Amino acid sequence: MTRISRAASRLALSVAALGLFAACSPEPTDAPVPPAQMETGSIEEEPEDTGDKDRLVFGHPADAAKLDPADVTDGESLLVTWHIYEGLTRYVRGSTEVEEALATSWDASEDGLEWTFTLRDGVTFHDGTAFDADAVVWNFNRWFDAEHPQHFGDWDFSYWEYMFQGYAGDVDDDENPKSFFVSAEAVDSSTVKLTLNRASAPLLQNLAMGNFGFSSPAAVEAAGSAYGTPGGSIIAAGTGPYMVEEWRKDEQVTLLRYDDYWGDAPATERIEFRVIPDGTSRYLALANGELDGMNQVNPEDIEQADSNDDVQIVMEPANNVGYFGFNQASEPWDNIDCRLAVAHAIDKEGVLGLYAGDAEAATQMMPPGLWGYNDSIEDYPYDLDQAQTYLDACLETSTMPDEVVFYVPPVQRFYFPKPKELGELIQASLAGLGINTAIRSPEWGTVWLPDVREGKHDVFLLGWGGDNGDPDNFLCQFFCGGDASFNGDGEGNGLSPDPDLEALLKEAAALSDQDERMAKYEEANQMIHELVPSVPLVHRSPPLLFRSNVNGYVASPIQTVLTSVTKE
Amino acid sequence: MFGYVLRRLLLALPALLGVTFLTYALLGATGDPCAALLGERYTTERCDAVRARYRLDDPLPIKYGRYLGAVLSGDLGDSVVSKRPVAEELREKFPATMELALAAVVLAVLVGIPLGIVAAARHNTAIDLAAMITALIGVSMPVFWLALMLIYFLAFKAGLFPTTGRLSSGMELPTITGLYTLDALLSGRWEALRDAVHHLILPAVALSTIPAAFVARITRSAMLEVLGQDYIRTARAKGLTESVVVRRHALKNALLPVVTVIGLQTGFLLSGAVLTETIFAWPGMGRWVVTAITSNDIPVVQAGVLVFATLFVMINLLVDLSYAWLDPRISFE
Repeated sequence: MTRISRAASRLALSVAALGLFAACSPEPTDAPVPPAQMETGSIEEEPEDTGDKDRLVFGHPADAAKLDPADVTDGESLLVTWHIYEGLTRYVRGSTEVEEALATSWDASEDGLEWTFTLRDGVTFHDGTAFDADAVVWNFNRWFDAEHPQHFGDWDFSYWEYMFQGYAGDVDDDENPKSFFVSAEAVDSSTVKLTLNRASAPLLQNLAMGNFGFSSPAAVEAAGSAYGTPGGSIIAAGTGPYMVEEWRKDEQVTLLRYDDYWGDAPATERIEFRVIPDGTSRYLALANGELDGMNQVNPEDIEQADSNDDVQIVMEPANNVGYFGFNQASEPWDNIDCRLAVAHAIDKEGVLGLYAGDAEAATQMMPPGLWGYNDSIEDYPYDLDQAQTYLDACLETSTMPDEVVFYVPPVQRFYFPKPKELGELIQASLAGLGINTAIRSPEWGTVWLPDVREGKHDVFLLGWGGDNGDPDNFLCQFFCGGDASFNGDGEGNGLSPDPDLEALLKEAAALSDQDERMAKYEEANQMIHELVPSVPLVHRSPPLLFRSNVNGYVASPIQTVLTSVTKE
Repeated sequence: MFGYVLRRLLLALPALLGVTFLTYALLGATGDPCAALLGERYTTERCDAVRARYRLDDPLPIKYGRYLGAVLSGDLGDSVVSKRPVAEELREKFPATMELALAAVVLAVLVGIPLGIVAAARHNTAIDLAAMITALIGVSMPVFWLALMLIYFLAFKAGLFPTTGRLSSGMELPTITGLYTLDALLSGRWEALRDAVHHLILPAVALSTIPAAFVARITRSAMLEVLGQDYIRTARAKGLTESVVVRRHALKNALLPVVTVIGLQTGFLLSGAVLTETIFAWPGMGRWVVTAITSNDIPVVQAGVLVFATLFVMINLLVDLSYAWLDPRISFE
């Protein structure tokens, strides 16, 4: 007690001493007002703001790795690049559907192998050069061809590989090209034709992704491999509503409104993305009026924010799923009765108790906001008697091992903020049925992921965050047999948990009619529900916080874009 | 003197080599960056591609030899995560750490030495007890807790300081050295100087508590030892005031161990303060290297370790050289 009271008196003395320093500081002149000079106080007092209605300051936990969207995989980079770059299509604000962006219209050939895009006129890059068909072709070639001079040697345009399935010259075991992309060619200055070697329905969704925004060829050639970095002679040049004004690495990126933008001018002249790694510090900076908005909120700060009149909470629609998966290559998980037993034994209300009110129970392996979600599916009820009945039926023909190897992530994932607790909760539920699980949480990078991808587990906890707003990006990712997480041949090679499901998903991915595709995915979701290759657990909604004087933000499942935001 | 310095520098080379080799071997043994890079997208094929790109499958001696060759030619490699040259990132981070560390050292010295002197001069009194309890609290207080308390009470509640960062929104400052206070001075931007100092105070206070406490404790014990010497008794017998005895006769002789501690603490502070940097959003070396460790970004960790090791070697050398200045009996000739 003595130590605490002495510490408190020392803190009080420090307050007095430092206060004296602050009082002795000279008054500001005409420069922007540093937050510390404002009349700040308790959160019950008058709301403060960052002092400049034409500057929106947004706090986030890590700086952009790079401002070349083709070469980034992290959300913090894309948070910034969404404002700088645009692609042929874009997501309708607040939705995962796509609309025209730098392409004003498009046509696909009947077989879906040729796509012709008409480009928007009068668009310029931030370096003043014109956006035209040549620029589009140059960008596609740069992404696709690892030998392109601006692919820069060992740079890895990961999202191109993820979404377009390979680079020029990559072939599979049967010598077929891995990528479905063949070429881009300029028909005339405002028309581009993309040629594919197999139909890919998610193409328009892929093209709307932040990674496929166009860079000015002249700017990339001028800056060389320093393009997209703070050291580049030109840091970034897209066609978007904002251009880069200043980048102080790991401190802030300041964007300035691009006056020659072809679309509606954004409301705020400047957006400053400020890096504050610690969640509590970030919230205090927001509550103190130094930030206008922030992402990646600590669960405990959501409660604080809820009771703070100066702060508003915006929940972004969920675009992820966390699930409990079965390895069907491992007995008895090839038996559907055993899988159903587990599905009925997991108490999802208990699972939600591990979240701060920012998650909802999942019934399907894709989020509810995504088209193709099947509203008619009802969740497996939490019913231990029914679970026991299924288990008894299963054990008539299958054998439960003495110890089921249960892989639980050793690290937090966005959809599982408390993986250890979640694993233990499910372990206890299964123990109630007499299923003895051994939790394994080895090192994430070198052991956990390789083991699960090669099928060395019996059951596991994992999840997925959506990339392109297409159901294929969730369902085929899981169940088209890319790895051995859900099923395998016993030698580390992946198999789909069900060949009919795989066929249905691949058929849906090749259709060009959106309504037909939607129906196929609704059917696939029903099939997955009946096959139980996994038990969907949660969808987590990321909260954003804004000061109460900030208006106009449109919540979106796929992107945080601040162009419509204004400050009172 | 010159010969001594040269000999010390040459002796440092094997130490630096050993440090880099150990780091390289340990990092190689604890994993590779592909899984950290790929996350949920991990597949054996993609991981193999990453390993091939960074030539991670070569035997350790070959990889180390390649790394060493590059370092000797001035190339610290590229970050696996950001893909930027490590040297460029280092140039961005080091000034921030330098600025914060120097501010913290100055604070620690300004608080620690007087506290230690007063405690020794008033040995076994309530003042001595109070000073040492203060030092004990300083050394025991978790930095992250103190940092958050400082932000909560002084920045958030009292509004005396900004919560985080190095400069306010919209404050313009040309980058000359990367030390914002110095840059503001050099460019004559007084408003920016005031703003940079304002941002520097809370993290520097948080960071200085432990070194200040160490300095206070070592100053006290060194002073107590010196104050018990015969020549101090002689000085007192000559009728000198206690203040003169302490300042002129005792202090300089007591400084030897104090300087050693200050040197070591400066080395620690220059190695970056992960918690303080994270909580105050200070973009320095500590956070950079720790983030790199978690993502197995070997070139960045190697560069960080190399810089830290070099700093320690240089600081130890400077501390040793300062002995000759403090104590004329010591000579390096």
